[in-house]
Amino acid sequence: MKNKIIVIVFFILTVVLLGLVVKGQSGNPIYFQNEKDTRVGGPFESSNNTSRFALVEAIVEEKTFFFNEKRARFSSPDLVLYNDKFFSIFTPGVSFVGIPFYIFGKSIGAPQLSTYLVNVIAALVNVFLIYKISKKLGAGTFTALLSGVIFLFATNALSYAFTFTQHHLSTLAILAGTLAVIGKSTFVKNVAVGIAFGVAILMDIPNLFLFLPIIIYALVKNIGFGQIKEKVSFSFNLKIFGLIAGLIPFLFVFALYNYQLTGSYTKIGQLIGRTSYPPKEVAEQKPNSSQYTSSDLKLFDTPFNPRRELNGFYILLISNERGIFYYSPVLILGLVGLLVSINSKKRKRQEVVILVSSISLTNILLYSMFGDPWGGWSYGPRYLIPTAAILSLGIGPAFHKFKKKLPIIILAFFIIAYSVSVNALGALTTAAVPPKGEAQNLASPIPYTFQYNLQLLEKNFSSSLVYNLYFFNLISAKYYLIYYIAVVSLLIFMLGVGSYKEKEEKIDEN
Amino acid sequence: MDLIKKRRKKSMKISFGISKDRIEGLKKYIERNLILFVALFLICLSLYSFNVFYSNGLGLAYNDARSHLNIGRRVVEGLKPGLAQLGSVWLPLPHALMIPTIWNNFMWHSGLSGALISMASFVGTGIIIYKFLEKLGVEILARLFGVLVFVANVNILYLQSTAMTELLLIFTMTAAVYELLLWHKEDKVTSLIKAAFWMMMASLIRYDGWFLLAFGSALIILNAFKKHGAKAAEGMFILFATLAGLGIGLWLLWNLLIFGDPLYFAFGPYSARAQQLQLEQAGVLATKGNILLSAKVYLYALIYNSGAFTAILGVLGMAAFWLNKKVETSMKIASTALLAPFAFNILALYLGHSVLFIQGISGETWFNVRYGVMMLPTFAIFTGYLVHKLTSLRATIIGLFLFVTFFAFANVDAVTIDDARVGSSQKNVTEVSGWLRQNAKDEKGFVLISAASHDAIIFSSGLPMGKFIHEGTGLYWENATTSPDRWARWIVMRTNDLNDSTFKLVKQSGQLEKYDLVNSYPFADIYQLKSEYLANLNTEPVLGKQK
Repeated sequence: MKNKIIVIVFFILTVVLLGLVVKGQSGNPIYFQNEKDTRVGGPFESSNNTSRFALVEAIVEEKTFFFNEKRARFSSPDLVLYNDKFFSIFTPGVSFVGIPFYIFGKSIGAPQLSTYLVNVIAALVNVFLIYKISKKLGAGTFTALLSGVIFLFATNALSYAFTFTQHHLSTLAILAGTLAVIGKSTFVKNVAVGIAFGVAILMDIPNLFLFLPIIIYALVKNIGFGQIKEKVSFSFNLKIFGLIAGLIPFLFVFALYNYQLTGSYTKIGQLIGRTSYPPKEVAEQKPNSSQYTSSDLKLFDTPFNPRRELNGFYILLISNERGIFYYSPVLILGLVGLLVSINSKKRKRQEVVILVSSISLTNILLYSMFGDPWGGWSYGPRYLIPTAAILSLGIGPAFHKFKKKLPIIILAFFIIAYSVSVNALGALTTAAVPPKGEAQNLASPIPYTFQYNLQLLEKNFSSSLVYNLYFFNLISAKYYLIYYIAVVSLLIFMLGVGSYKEKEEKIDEN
Repeated sequence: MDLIKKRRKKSMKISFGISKDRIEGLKKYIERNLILFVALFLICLSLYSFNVFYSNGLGLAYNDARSHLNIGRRVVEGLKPGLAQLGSVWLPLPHALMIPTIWNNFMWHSGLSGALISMASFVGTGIIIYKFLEKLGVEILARLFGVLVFVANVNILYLQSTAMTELLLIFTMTAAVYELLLWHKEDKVTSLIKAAFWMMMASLIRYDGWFLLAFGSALIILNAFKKHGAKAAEGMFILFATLAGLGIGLWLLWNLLIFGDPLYFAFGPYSARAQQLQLEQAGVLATKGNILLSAKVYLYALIYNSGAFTAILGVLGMAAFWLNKKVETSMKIASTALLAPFAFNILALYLGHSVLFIQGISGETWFNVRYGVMMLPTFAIFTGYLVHKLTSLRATIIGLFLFVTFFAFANVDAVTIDDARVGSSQKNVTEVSGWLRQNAKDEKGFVLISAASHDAIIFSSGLPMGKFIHEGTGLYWENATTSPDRWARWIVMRTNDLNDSTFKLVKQSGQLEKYDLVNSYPFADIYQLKSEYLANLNTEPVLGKQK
């Protein structure tokens, strides 16, 4: 009971803290609800938001998946032109989830705010799922909450909780799939894995690959080897068909969606390619026979190429542009925690750690091979938000391992404070920071790191709706950020103290 | 097989059983014959890969591949055939091994004569990696994975389909290190002799082999001294060096006998040093004297060849092996020989004896990036070891490797193909060789051309070697460069380029006005003797057998 109260209080606090960062601008009615303004720091600052939002509008307002010229311009360049019709380049999952929120928001005059709540809720659910999985890994209540809060406030998950992108919903599907697949395999749990898989595919195509470890694990769990007298027995559990049962409805929806757009059940927008609005004429390039490269021999088109791994690893892991350990060094603790747990003598716990590590490594490897590991104009490594969630799971074991080593704990607190600060800065200003190459080639070059966000802050700019509505005339944006960081750090500190006091045997329980 | 099918309502399972004895029997059979299965698989893979790259014409994309084939061919055909045609530009073993097959036109022009050596080396290296891991006590799955890391690499599959020398070098060096490891482990003199043999072979392929020989010698002295004392160390070293150094000794002797200078290969006009001097003068030998850039360039090369993920696994495997207290120190020391290619290439770049361009670091082109592939067997061995040690992460590592490899094959991603096709290693001589094939094939008369500069044109023209007068044709060359109008109906050269010896000598002869410039192409110009001089032209090989 006591634990339940702690969890409820914690979640209320988290909701309040999230509410303080929701993007918006003052106005009557609140700005951005009717205006399609793509200014920096606003909810429509990136086309990965606008393209999805335009799809929601098109479905609700005009009962179509296609965009009129206004919406095409709003979505560009995350737009596809096919058979003289425009539509979103993205898979439709996020937009589908957003539909009821949009309808509700429209009825109260806040369609944008309401629709964007999808990711705020998904972020909260992710914290809860991290809490649940942490418990499965043997963490106590405070330690598990600590893992969740670090994911949400000390990584760029915070910035993307206020966007209309796929990241939190993808992470949710992955974490839900993980939670469903661990433990005893049942038909219902396999259905749940299938549903999570189907949802993940609808959110973003690369989730197909991120789900591979979960699917393989589910299959392996349903194949049994044993020895009966003189025979070695093999068994195959038919409950695994639950996975297919859960998956099929979503594949069916996806296929129908594709059919509506392209006339083919399997042709998807992302494979057709981007266009801008208005579309530019592209001169057909004739290949020069003397310049054939290995890429001319490719068996099929894929945006992932291992040649890019080296650059991808650098950009995604340590660079000051998008490096996960640069933006959230606290996750190094999580990494250590997972490494510690891999050697756990408890087999089930070890299995879970290996499973989540596999998902995380697949995530890193996949996007290291991607042509744009930066994720365009973004804040931190947005493609690695699932990895941030997984590494957060290691915070508990790491904390448990080092809880009696004061210098490490003190160092950890500073690292956490730094991570919270950097990510609160992104959330309270903009999630549209250009990659180095683009930033330096702008007519007026801008920084390509969070220095850009600091510059905005110096100009007293904040993207927070609450700040712009209620605090703009009271304190500067910088102080709003400082107070915010202080409150979040205090929450983490309190959870840390609670975690410290948790009995060791409780943390070790499985 | 006794198959039992059961359907149980409660557990929703399909089960069947196989007799334990049968499984044990099958397991033993597989274990007994696994090396044979591995060899068969590698042979099939090798043949299939050759066919792929032969069909799309990439097997001969490397300019050097065509030159290697021509060198072999000149030994058996031309105006002055003979072993002396092995020359001094490259070490002789790859060309010598081509001699039994290169006489056949198909084997020459398909590149199969050279590729066969690479293909056999590919299979051999796969087997050595398997055996190497076996000797390290690695279990079967991890051994097979080590082999997979080596063979499931598009760069290796491409190079093994060409007449390049990398695979032969990789095979001999890996075999040498394997025997060296065995000697450290078992202290048998036969292993030492075998190591010496393979090092001798490697020393006759590329200078990487010379470095390995020096490195291996140091390891042998150290190990023998530690185990048996100074006297035994001296004896072991002499035994080893006598055979291992034989190749180098013969090479020096060869250079002395043929070119009159034992160090002709190192300081001659066609030596790597001479080429590097040209590059240095052009200001593109940036690695010379810069150890950090040399290391960076080679690191990129090896990562582009092996794949970043494989390289990381390999390095983790090295750490797992060298930090494992249960592994004997002597084994750890012996295995450092696997790093010889790494040390050699960085040193060679630093000293300016080698050149390697990486796109993005050395401008926008590739050159010799294939040198990075030399570390792949090392990574394969240590990755196999890593999988053996990390039992809990075994499925994860193998799964992720397959995941990345899937994309590598989907993209046919090979930096060596780019190196061959768009880098400085390529020469698209289709136009100039096409002209020769069309206009000189059925006409009498010789073509004067520098093989050092234009071997690719000679190869691609499809004309018999006896049609060409080049530096290796003795009196024909001397006569044709002093009186071209008497010997050469066509001259192929880069006009105004003094590095092209044909131009340099023909210009001195003052006879160029007797020729019409037929056409200018990207890599060479073609001159044809004016019709009024045809009457005095020699069109037959009248000089007979030359010494």
